[in-house]
Amino acid sequence: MAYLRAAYATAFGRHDGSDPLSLMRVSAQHVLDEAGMERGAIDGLVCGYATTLPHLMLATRFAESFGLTPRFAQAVQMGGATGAGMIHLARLLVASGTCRNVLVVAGENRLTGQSRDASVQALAQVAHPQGEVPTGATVPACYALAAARYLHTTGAQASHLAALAVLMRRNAARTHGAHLSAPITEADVLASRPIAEPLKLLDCCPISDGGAAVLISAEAGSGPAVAITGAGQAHTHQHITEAPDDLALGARQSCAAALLEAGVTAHDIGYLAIYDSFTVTLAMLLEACGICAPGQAGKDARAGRFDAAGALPLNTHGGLLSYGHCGVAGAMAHVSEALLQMRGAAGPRQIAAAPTHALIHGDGGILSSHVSLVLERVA
Amino acid sequence: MSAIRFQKCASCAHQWALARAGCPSCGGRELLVQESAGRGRVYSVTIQHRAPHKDFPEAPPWRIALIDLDEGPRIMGHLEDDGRIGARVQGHMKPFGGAMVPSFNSKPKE
Repeated sequence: MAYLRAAYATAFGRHDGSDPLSLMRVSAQHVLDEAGMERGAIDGLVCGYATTLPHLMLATRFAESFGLTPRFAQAVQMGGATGAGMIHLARLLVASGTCRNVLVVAGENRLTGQSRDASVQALAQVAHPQGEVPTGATVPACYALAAARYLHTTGAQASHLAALAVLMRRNAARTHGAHLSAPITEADVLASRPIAEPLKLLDCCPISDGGAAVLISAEAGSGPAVAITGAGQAHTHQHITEAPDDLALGARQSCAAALLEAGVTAHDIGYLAIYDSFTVTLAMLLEACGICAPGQAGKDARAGRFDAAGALPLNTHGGLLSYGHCGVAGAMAHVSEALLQMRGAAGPRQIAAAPTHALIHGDGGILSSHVSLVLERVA
Repeated sequence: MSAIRFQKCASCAHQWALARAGCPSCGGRELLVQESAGRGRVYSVTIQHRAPHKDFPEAPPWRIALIDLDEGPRIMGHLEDDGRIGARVQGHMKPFGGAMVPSFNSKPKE
Protein backbone atom coordinates (compact mmCIF):
# COMPACT_ATOMS: atom_id res chain seq x y z
CA MET A 1 0.00 0.00 0.00
CA ALA A 2 1.25 3.48 -0.81
CA TYR A 3 0.08 6.28 1.46
CA LEU A 4 -0.26 9.98 0.84
CA ARG A 5 1.54 10.81 4.05
CA ALA A 6 2.05 14.55 3.87
CA ALA A 7 1.43 17.34 1.38
CA TYR A 8 1.93 21.08 1.24
CA ALA A 9 1.50 23.95 -1.17
CA THR A 10 3.01 27.40 -0.65
CA ALA A 11 0.98 30.51 -1.21
CA PHE A 12 0.59 31.10 -4.96
CA GLY A 13 1.00 34.51 -6.57
CA ARG A 14 4.07 36.75 -6.44
CA HIS A 15 7.19 35.45 -4.72
CA ASP A 16 9.70 38.14 -5.63
CA GLY A 17 13.27 36.90 -5.59
CA SER A 18 12.25 33.24 -5.62
CA ASP A 19 13.40 30.59 -8.07
CA PRO A 20 12.34 26.98 -8.67
CA LEU A 21 14.90 25.55 -6.25
CA SER A 22 13.92 27.91 -3.44
CA LEU A 23 10.22 27.18 -3.90
CA MET A 24 10.93 23.45 -4.03
CA ARG A 25 13.09 23.69 -0.91
CA VAL A 26 10.41 25.46 1.13
CA SER A 27 7.78 22.95 0.05
CA ALA A 28 9.96 19.89 0.63
CA GLN A 29 11.06 21.05 4.07
CA HIS A 30 7.46 21.67 5.07
CA VAL A 31 6.48 18.14 4.09
CA LEU A 32 9.44 16.60 5.95
CA ASP A 33 8.56 18.59 9.05
CA GLU A 34 4.92 17.56 8.81
CA ALA A 35 5.94 13.89 8.55
CA GLY A 36 8.60 14.24 11.25
CA MET A 37 11.13 12.80 8.84
CA GLU A 38 14.85 13.44 8.39
CA ARG A 39 16.40 13.92 4.96
CA GLY A 40 18.14 10.55 5.20
CA ALA A 41 14.81 8.72 5.27
CA ILE A 42 13.93 9.95 1.78
CA ASP A 43 15.03 7.18 -0.60
CA GLY A 44 13.10 8.33 -3.67
CA LEU A 45 12.80 11.73 -5.35
CA VAL A 46 10.47 12.67 -8.17
CA CYS A 47 10.59 16.20 -9.57
CA GLY A 48 8.77 17.99 -12.34
CA TYR A 49 10.21 20.64 -14.62
CA ALA A 50 10.33 24.43 -14.55
CA THR A 51 10.24 26.68 -17.61
CA THR A 52 12.31 29.23 -15.66
CA LEU A 53 15.00 26.62 -14.89
CA PRO A 54 15.41 24.32 -17.85
CA HIS A 55 17.84 21.66 -16.62
CA LEU A 56 18.92 18.24 -17.88
CA MET A 57 18.77 16.73 -14.39
CA LEU A 58 16.40 18.74 -12.25
CA ALA A 59 15.85 15.91 -9.74
CA THR A 60 19.57 15.49 -9.10
CA ARG A 61 20.06 19.25 -9.12
CA PHE A 62 17.46 19.56 -6.39
CA ALA A 63 18.72 16.52 -4.47
CA GLU A 64 22.18 18.06 -4.23
CA SER A 65 20.83 21.45 -3.30
CA PHE A 66 18.42 20.17 -0.66
CA GLY A 67 20.71 17.50 0.70
CA LEU A 68 19.27 14.20 -0.47
CA THR A 69 21.08 11.10 -1.72
CA PRO A 70 18.14 8.97 -2.88
CA ARG A 71 18.39 5.58 -4.53
CA PHE A 72 15.91 6.73 -7.16
CA ALA A 73 15.60 10.24 -8.65
CA GLN A 74 13.85 11.28 -11.83
CA ALA A 75 12.23 14.33 -13.37
CA VAL A 76 8.90 13.93 -15.13
CA GLN A 77 7.45 15.98 -17.98
CA MET A 78 3.74 15.54 -18.68
CA GLY A 79 2.59 19.15 -18.90
CA GLY A 80 -0.38 19.75 -16.65
CA ALA A 81 -0.61 16.04 -15.85
CA THR A 82 2.86 16.09 -14.27
CA GLY A 83 1.74 16.55 -10.67
CA ALA A 84 -0.62 13.58 -10.74
CA GLY A 85 1.84 11.64 -12.91
CA MET A 86 4.65 12.11 -10.39
CA ILE A 87 2.42 10.82 -7.60
CA HIS A 88 1.46 7.87 -9.79
CA LEU A 89 5.16 7.09 -10.28
CA ALA A 90 5.89 7.49 -6.57
CA ARG A 91 3.12 5.05 -5.77
CA LEU A 92 4.61 2.51 -8.19
CA LEU A 93 8.01 2.94 -6.55
CA VAL A 94 6.56 2.29 -3.10
CA ALA A 95 4.27 -0.54 -4.21
CA SER A 96 7.15 -2.31 -5.95
CA GLY A 97 9.34 -2.06 -2.87
CA THR A 98 11.87 0.08 -4.72
CA CYS A 99 11.49 2.92 -2.22
CA ARG A 100 9.85 3.49 1.15
CA ASN A 101 9.59 7.27 1.18
CA VAL A 102 9.30 9.17 -2.07
CA LEU A 103 9.43 12.95 -2.03
CA VAL A 104 7.48 14.50 -4.92
CA VAL A 105 8.30 18.17 -5.34
CA ALA A 106 7.87 21.02 -7.80
CA GLY A 107 8.13 24.78 -7.82
CA GLU A 108 8.43 27.61 -10.28
CA ASN A 109 8.61 31.40 -10.31
CA ARG A 110 6.59 31.41 -13.51
CA LEU A 111 5.14 34.86 -12.76
CA THR A 112 8.17 36.84 -11.65
CA GLY A 113 10.94 34.76 -13.25
CA GLN A 114 10.08 35.67 -16.82
CA SER A 115 7.84 38.02 -18.74
CA ARG A 116 4.26 36.98 -19.33
CA ASP A 117 5.14 37.04 -23.02
CA ALA A 118 7.90 34.48 -22.42
CA SER A 119 5.45 32.27 -20.51
CA VAL A 120 2.86 32.44 -23.29
CA GLN A 121 5.55 31.76 -25.89
CA ALA A 122 7.03 28.83 -23.95
CA LEU A 123 3.61 27.27 -23.52
CA ALA A 124 2.75 27.82 -27.19
CA GLN A 125 5.40 25.21 -28.00
CA VAL A 126 2.73 22.73 -26.99
CA ALA A 127 1.42 23.35 -30.52
CA HIS A 128 2.87 21.51 -33.53
CA PRO A 129 5.78 23.45 -35.08
CA GLN A 130 4.72 23.00 -38.70
CA GLY A 131 1.03 22.18 -38.51
CA GLU A 132 -0.19 24.55 -35.79
CA VAL A 133 2.34 27.18 -34.66
CA PRO A 134 2.28 29.07 -38.00
CA THR A 135 -1.42 29.86 -37.46
CA GLY A 136 -0.40 31.81 -34.36
CA ALA A 137 -2.19 29.35 -32.09
CA THR A 138 -1.54 29.64 -28.37
CA VAL A 139 -2.54 27.18 -25.64
CA PRO A 140 -5.68 29.22 -24.92
CA ALA A 141 -6.54 29.12 -28.63
CA CYS A 142 -6.23 25.33 -28.66
CA TYR A 143 -8.47 25.03 -25.59
CA ALA A 144 -10.83 27.54 -27.18
CA LEU A 145 -11.18 25.19 -30.15
CA ALA A 146 -12.09 22.45 -27.69
CA ALA A 147 -14.47 24.85 -25.93
CA ALA A 148 -16.25 25.92 -29.10
CA ARG A 149 -16.74 22.31 -30.08
CA TYR A 150 -17.89 21.39 -26.56
CA LEU A 151 -20.49 24.16 -26.52
CA HIS A 152 -21.64 23.22 -30.03
CA THR A 153 -21.93 19.52 -29.24
CA THR A 154 -23.54 19.73 -25.80
CA GLY A 155 -25.69 22.84 -26.12
CA ALA A 156 -24.08 24.29 -22.99
CA GLN A 157 -23.50 28.04 -22.98
CA ALA A 158 -20.56 30.26 -22.12
CA SER A 159 -22.40 31.38 -18.99
CA HIS A 160 -22.37 27.78 -17.76
CA LEU A 161 -18.59 27.70 -18.09
CA ALA A 162 -18.48 31.03 -16.25
CA ALA A 163 -20.24 29.41 -13.29
CA LEU A 164 -17.16 27.24 -12.77
CA ALA A 165 -14.89 30.30 -12.63
CA VAL A 166 -17.23 31.91 -10.10
CA LEU A 167 -17.13 28.81 -7.91
CA MET A 168 -13.33 28.60 -7.98
CA ARG A 169 -13.08 32.26 -7.02
CA ARG A 170 -15.55 31.81 -4.17
CA ASN A 171 -13.47 28.90 -2.88
CA ALA A 172 -10.23 30.87 -3.20
CA ALA A 173 -11.68 33.71 -1.15
CA ARG A 174 -11.63 31.36 1.87
CA THR A 175 -8.09 30.16 1.21
CA HIS A 176 -5.03 31.86 2.65
CA GLY A 177 -2.40 32.17 -0.06
CA ALA A 178 -4.74 32.18 -3.05
CA HIS A 179 -3.50 34.25 -5.99
CA LEU A 180 -6.91 35.68 -6.88
CA SER A 181 -9.59 36.18 -4.25
CA ALA A 182 -11.74 39.17 -5.28
CA PRO A 183 -15.31 37.94 -5.81
CA ILE A 184 -16.56 37.64 -9.39
CA THR A 185 -19.93 36.97 -10.98
CA GLU A 186 -20.90 35.14 -14.15
CA ALA A 187 -21.50 38.55 -15.72
CA ASP A 188 -17.93 39.58 -14.82
CA VAL A 189 -16.58 36.48 -16.54
CA LEU A 190 -18.65 37.05 -19.66
CA ALA A 191 -17.66 40.72 -19.79
CA SER A 192 -13.95 40.09 -19.29
CA ARG A 193 -11.53 40.61 -22.16
CA PRO A 194 -11.79 37.94 -24.85
CA ILE A 195 -8.63 35.83 -25.10
CA ALA A 196 -9.65 33.18 -27.62
CA GLU A 197 -13.40 33.03 -28.02
CA PRO A 198 -15.40 31.59 -26.38
CA LEU A 199 -12.78 31.86 -23.61
CA LYS A 200 -12.49 35.18 -21.81
CA LEU A 201 -9.79 36.30 -19.40
CA LEU A 202 -11.68 35.00 -16.37
CA ASP A 203 -12.12 31.59 -18.02
CA CYS A 204 -8.32 31.27 -17.86
CA CYS A 205 -6.06 30.55 -14.90
CA PRO A 206 -3.48 33.15 -13.89
CA ILE A 207 0.29 32.68 -14.14
CA SER A 208 1.70 32.38 -10.61
CA ASP A 209 4.79 31.65 -8.56
CA GLY A 210 4.56 28.79 -6.12
CA GLY A 211 5.72 25.41 -4.97
CA ALA A 212 4.29 22.17 -3.63
CA ALA A 213 5.46 18.85 -2.27
CA VAL A 214 3.92 15.50 -1.45
CA LEU A 215 5.34 12.56 0.48
CA ILE A 216 4.31 9.11 -0.73
CA SER A 217 5.26 6.49 1.81
CA ALA A 218 4.97 2.81 2.69
CA GLU A 219 3.79 3.95 6.13
CA ALA A 220 0.68 5.98 6.78
CA GLY A 221 2.25 8.18 9.44
CA SER A 222 0.22 9.88 12.15
CA GLY A 223 -3.36 11.02 11.70
CA PRO A 224 -6.05 9.50 9.49
CA ALA A 225 -4.38 7.25 6.88
CA VAL A 226 -4.99 8.14 3.25
CA ALA A 227 -3.88 5.63 0.63
CA ILE A 228 -3.71 5.75 -3.15
CA THR A 229 -5.95 2.85 -4.08
CA GLY A 230 -6.38 3.41 -7.81
CA ALA A 231 -4.46 5.01 -10.66
CA GLY A 232 -4.83 5.25 -14.39
CA GLN A 233 -3.31 7.06 -17.33
CA ALA A 234 -4.22 7.59 -20.96
CA HIS A 235 -2.39 9.40 -23.73
CA THR A 236 -4.48 9.84 -26.85
CA HIS A 237 -2.59 12.51 -28.82
CA GLN A 238 -0.29 15.49 -28.33
CA HIS A 239 -1.80 18.10 -30.65
CA ILE A 240 -5.46 19.01 -30.81
CA THR A 241 -5.29 18.62 -34.59
CA GLU A 242 -4.91 14.87 -34.06
CA ALA A 243 -7.19 14.55 -31.02
CA PRO A 244 -9.98 11.98 -31.20
CA ASP A 245 -13.49 13.28 -31.96
CA ASP A 246 -14.27 12.50 -28.33
CA LEU A 247 -11.84 15.20 -27.23
CA ALA A 248 -11.66 14.10 -23.60
CA LEU A 249 -11.47 10.40 -24.39
CA GLY A 250 -8.21 10.08 -22.46
CA ALA A 251 -9.86 11.35 -19.29
CA ARG A 252 -12.66 8.86 -19.73
CA GLN A 253 -10.12 6.04 -20.06
CA SER A 254 -7.75 7.02 -17.27
CA CYS A 255 -10.56 7.72 -14.82
CA ALA A 256 -12.26 4.42 -15.58
CA ALA A 257 -8.97 2.60 -14.97
CA ALA A 258 -8.38 4.36 -11.65
CA LEU A 259 -11.91 3.72 -10.38
CA LEU A 260 -11.75 0.08 -11.46
CA GLU A 261 -8.52 -0.52 -9.60
CA ALA A 262 -9.89 1.19 -6.50
CA GLY A 263 -13.04 -0.89 -6.70
CA VAL A 264 -15.34 2.12 -6.59
CA THR A 265 -17.58 4.06 -8.97
CA ALA A 266 -17.96 7.79 -9.55
CA HIS A 267 -20.91 7.67 -7.11
CA ASP A 268 -18.58 6.72 -4.25
CA ILE A 269 -16.42 9.81 -4.67
CA GLY A 270 -16.87 12.42 -1.94
CA TYR A 271 -14.32 15.01 -3.00
CA LEU A 272 -13.04 16.17 -6.39
CA ALA A 273 -9.58 17.54 -7.23
CA ILE A 274 -9.87 18.19 -10.96
CA TYR A 275 -7.50 20.06 -13.27
CA ASP A 276 -8.93 23.44 -14.20
CA SER A 277 -6.51 25.36 -16.40
CA PHE A 278 -9.55 26.83 -18.16
CA THR A 279 -13.22 26.64 -17.25
CA VAL A 280 -13.81 24.39 -20.24
CA THR A 281 -11.06 22.03 -19.11
CA LEU A 282 -12.88 21.54 -15.83
CA ALA A 283 -16.26 21.07 -17.53
CA MET A 284 -14.98 18.52 -20.02
CA LEU A 285 -13.04 16.57 -17.39
CA LEU A 286 -15.95 16.46 -14.94
CA GLU A 287 -18.12 15.06 -17.69
CA ALA A 288 -15.53 12.61 -19.03
CA CYS A 289 -14.92 11.30 -15.50
CA GLY A 290 -18.60 10.47 -15.22
CA ILE A 291 -19.32 13.07 -12.55
CA CYS A 292 -21.71 15.10 -14.72
CA ALA A 293 -23.90 14.36 -17.71
CA PRO A 294 -22.67 15.85 -21.01
CA GLY A 295 -23.05 19.63 -21.02
CA GLN A 296 -24.14 19.73 -17.37
CA ALA A 297 -20.96 20.59 -15.47
CA GLY A 298 -21.55 24.33 -15.40
CA LYS A 299 -25.22 23.93 -14.60
CA ASP A 300 -24.35 21.59 -11.75
CA ALA A 301 -21.88 24.17 -10.42
CA ARG A 302 -24.49 26.91 -10.69
CA ALA A 303 -26.95 24.74 -8.76
CA GLY A 304 -24.47 24.41 -5.90
CA ARG A 305 -23.61 20.76 -6.35
CA PHE A 306 -19.87 21.45 -6.15
CA ASP A 307 -19.98 24.08 -3.40
CA ALA A 308 -17.91 23.43 -0.30
CA ALA A 309 -21.25 22.78 1.44
CA GLY A 310 -22.69 20.95 -1.57
CA ALA A 311 -23.07 17.28 -2.38
CA LEU A 312 -19.66 16.91 -4.03
CA PRO A 313 -17.10 19.57 -3.13
CA LEU A 314 -14.61 20.48 -5.86
CA ASN A 315 -11.20 22.16 -5.58
CA THR A 316 -12.15 23.83 -2.31
CA HIS A 317 -8.87 25.78 -2.27
CA GLY A 318 -9.81 27.60 -5.48
CA GLY A 319 -8.11 25.50 -8.13
CA LEU A 320 -5.79 26.70 -10.84
CA LEU A 321 -8.41 29.26 -11.84
CA SER A 322 -8.09 31.20 -8.59
CA TYR A 323 -5.61 29.65 -6.15
CA GLY A 324 -3.28 29.94 -9.12
CA HIS A 325 -1.12 28.09 -11.61
CA CYS A 326 2.66 27.96 -11.27
CA GLY A 327 3.26 25.03 -13.61
CA VAL A 328 3.86 21.57 -12.17
CA ALA A 329 3.14 22.57 -8.56
CA GLY A 330 -0.17 24.12 -9.63
CA ALA A 331 -2.15 20.91 -9.69
CA MET A 332 -0.27 19.56 -6.65
CA ALA A 333 -2.10 22.15 -4.57
CA HIS A 334 -5.27 20.23 -5.48
CA VAL A 335 -3.72 17.15 -3.86
CA SER A 336 -2.64 19.04 -0.76
CA GLU A 337 -6.18 20.34 -0.34
CA ALA A 338 -7.67 16.88 -0.89
CA LEU A 339 -5.48 15.48 1.89
CA LEU A 340 -6.51 18.25 4.27
CA GLN A 341 -10.18 17.62 3.55
CA MET A 342 -9.85 13.85 3.91
CA ARG A 343 -8.09 14.23 7.26
CA GLY A 344 -10.62 16.73 8.52
CA ALA A 345 -7.81 19.26 8.79
CA ALA A 346 -8.97 21.95 6.36
CA GLY A 347 -9.86 24.39 9.15
CA PRO A 348 -12.48 26.97 8.15
CA ARG A 349 -12.72 25.34 4.70
CA GLN A 350 -13.40 21.87 6.11
CA ILE A 351 -16.32 20.25 4.35
CA ALA A 352 -19.05 18.75 6.50
CA ALA A 353 -18.12 15.09 6.25
CA ALA A 354 -14.46 14.26 5.67
CA PRO A 355 -14.71 12.21 2.46
CA THR A 356 -13.73 8.54 2.29
CA HIS A 357 -12.84 8.71 -1.40
CA ALA A 358 -11.40 11.51 -3.48
CA LEU A 359 -10.76 11.64 -7.21
CA ILE A 360 -7.71 13.48 -8.53
CA HIS A 361 -7.40 14.18 -12.24
CA GLY A 362 -4.60 15.88 -14.15
CA ASP A 363 -4.59 16.88 -17.81
CA GLY A 364 -1.50 17.71 -19.85
CA GLY A 365 -1.20 19.30 -23.27
CA ILE A 366 -4.52 19.91 -24.99
CA LEU A 367 -6.53 17.16 -23.29
CA SER A 368 -3.60 15.00 -24.40
CA SER A 369 -2.14 13.29 -21.32
CA HIS A 370 -4.34 12.17 -18.46
CA VAL A 371 -3.64 10.85 -14.99
CA SER A 372 -6.37 9.85 -12.54
CA LEU A 373 -5.84 8.85 -8.91
CA VAL A 374 -8.27 7.59 -6.29
CA LEU A 375 -7.48 8.45 -2.68
CA GLU A 376 -9.10 6.47 0.10
CA ARG A 377 -9.22 7.11 3.83
CA VAL A 378 -8.33 3.68 5.15
CA ALA A 379 -8.18 4.27 8.90
CA MET B 1 -2.15 29.97 -54.96
CA SER B 2 -0.78 26.73 -53.54
CA ALA B 3 -2.72 23.69 -52.47
CA ILE B 4 -3.02 22.33 -48.96
CA ARG B 5 -0.95 19.17 -48.59
CA PHE B 6 -0.99 16.19 -46.30
CA GLN B 7 0.84 12.88 -46.04
CA LYS B 8 -0.27 9.40 -47.03
CA CYS B 9 1.40 6.06 -46.41
CA ALA B 10 2.33 4.23 -49.62
CA SER B 11 2.03 0.90 -47.82
CA CYS B 12 -1.27 1.06 -45.93
CA ALA B 13 -2.93 4.19 -47.40
CA HIS B 14 -3.33 5.76 -43.93
CA GLN B 15 -3.29 9.55 -44.20
CA TRP B 16 -2.81 12.36 -41.71
CA ALA B 17 -2.20 16.07 -41.33
CA LEU B 18 0.80 16.66 -39.05
CA ALA B 19 4.13 16.07 -40.82
CA ARG B 20 6.14 13.06 -39.65
CA ALA B 21 8.84 10.79 -41.04
CA GLY B 22 6.94 7.51 -40.89
CA CYS B 23 3.41 6.14 -40.93
CA PRO B 24 1.90 6.17 -37.41
CA SER B 25 -0.32 3.23 -38.32
CA CYS B 26 2.02 0.67 -39.93
CA GLY B 27 5.45 2.25 -39.57
CA GLY B 28 5.91 2.53 -43.32
CA ARG B 29 8.65 4.91 -44.40
CA GLU B 30 7.53 5.53 -47.96
CA LEU B 31 5.25 8.53 -47.67
CA LEU B 32 3.31 10.26 -50.42
CA VAL B 33 2.47 13.96 -50.39
CA GLN B 34 -1.18 14.45 -51.28
CA GLU B 35 -2.69 17.69 -52.57
CA SER B 36 -6.09 18.43 -51.09
CA ALA B 37 -8.84 19.90 -53.23
CA GLY B 38 -9.18 22.33 -50.33
CA ARG B 39 -12.78 21.48 -49.57
CA GLY B 40 -13.90 20.59 -46.09
CA ARG B 41 -16.05 21.37 -43.09
CA VAL B 42 -15.44 23.44 -39.96
CA TYR B 43 -14.91 21.15 -36.95
CA SER B 44 -14.28 24.04 -34.58
CA VAL B 45 -13.31 27.70 -34.70
CA THR B 46 -12.06 30.38 -32.32
CA ILE B 47 -11.34 34.07 -32.63
CA GLN B 48 -7.90 34.61 -31.18
CA HIS B 49 -7.36 38.02 -29.61
CA ARG B 50 -3.78 37.70 -28.46
CA ALA B 51 -0.64 37.23 -30.55
CA PRO B 52 1.61 34.34 -29.50
CA HIS B 53 4.41 36.79 -28.67
CA LYS B 54 5.06 40.51 -28.82
CA ASP B 55 7.22 40.38 -31.94
CA PHE B 56 4.66 38.40 -33.91
CA PRO B 57 4.31 40.17 -37.26
CA GLU B 58 0.50 40.04 -37.49
CA ALA B 59 -1.98 41.97 -35.37
CA PRO B 60 -4.85 40.01 -33.81
CA PRO B 61 -7.66 39.15 -33.91
CA TRP B 62 -7.82 36.30 -36.40
CA ARG B 63 -9.87 33.13 -36.62
CA ILE B 64 -8.20 29.77 -36.10
CA ALA B 65 -10.16 26.71 -37.15
CA LEU B 66 -9.90 22.97 -37.29
CA ILE B 67 -11.09 21.84 -40.70
CA ASP B 68 -12.07 18.31 -41.65
CA LEU B 69 -10.84 17.98 -45.24
CA ASP B 70 -13.07 15.98 -47.53
CA GLU B 71 -10.07 13.70 -48.14
CA GLY B 72 -10.11 12.75 -44.43
CA PRO B 73 -7.41 14.49 -42.40
CA ARG B 74 -8.28 17.25 -39.92
CA ILE B 75 -6.00 20.27 -40.20
CA MET B 76 -5.54 23.57 -38.39
CA GLY B 77 -5.78 26.74 -40.41
CA HIS B 78 -7.39 30.15 -40.61
CA LEU B 79 -10.99 30.97 -41.35
CA GLU B 80 -11.33 34.25 -43.22
CA ASP B 81 -15.01 34.83 -42.55
CA ASP B 82 -17.57 34.10 -39.86
CA GLY B 83 -18.31 30.53 -40.93
CA ARG B 84 -19.51 28.46 -38.00
CA ILE B 85 -18.99 24.88 -36.91
CA GLY B 86 -20.34 22.58 -39.60
CA ALA B 87 -19.97 25.16 -42.40
CA ARG B 88 -18.59 24.01 -45.74
CA VAL B 89 -15.32 25.73 -46.60
CA GLN B 90 -12.85 26.04 -49.43
CA GLY B 91 -9.21 26.88 -48.85
CA HIS B 92 -5.59 27.03 -49.96
CA MET B 93 -2.21 28.00 -48.53
CA LYS B 94 -1.69 31.70 -47.82
CA PRO B 95 1.21 33.69 -46.39
CA PHE B 96 0.79 34.71 -42.73
CA GLY B 97 3.41 35.99 -40.34
CA GLY B 98 6.28 34.84 -42.53
CA ALA B 99 4.94 31.31 -43.03
CA MET B 100 2.33 29.61 -45.19
CA VAL B 101 -0.94 28.73 -43.47
CA PRO B 102 -4.04 26.90 -44.75
CA SER B 103 -6.73 29.54 -45.10
CA PHE B 104 -10.43 28.92 -45.69
CA ASN B 105 -13.62 30.65 -46.70
CA SER B 106 -17.05 29.33 -45.88
CA LYS B 107 -19.56 28.71 -48.65
CA PRO B 108 -23.32 28.25 -48.49
CA LYS B 109 -24.23 25.04 -46.72
CA GLU B 110 -24.87 22.05 -48.93
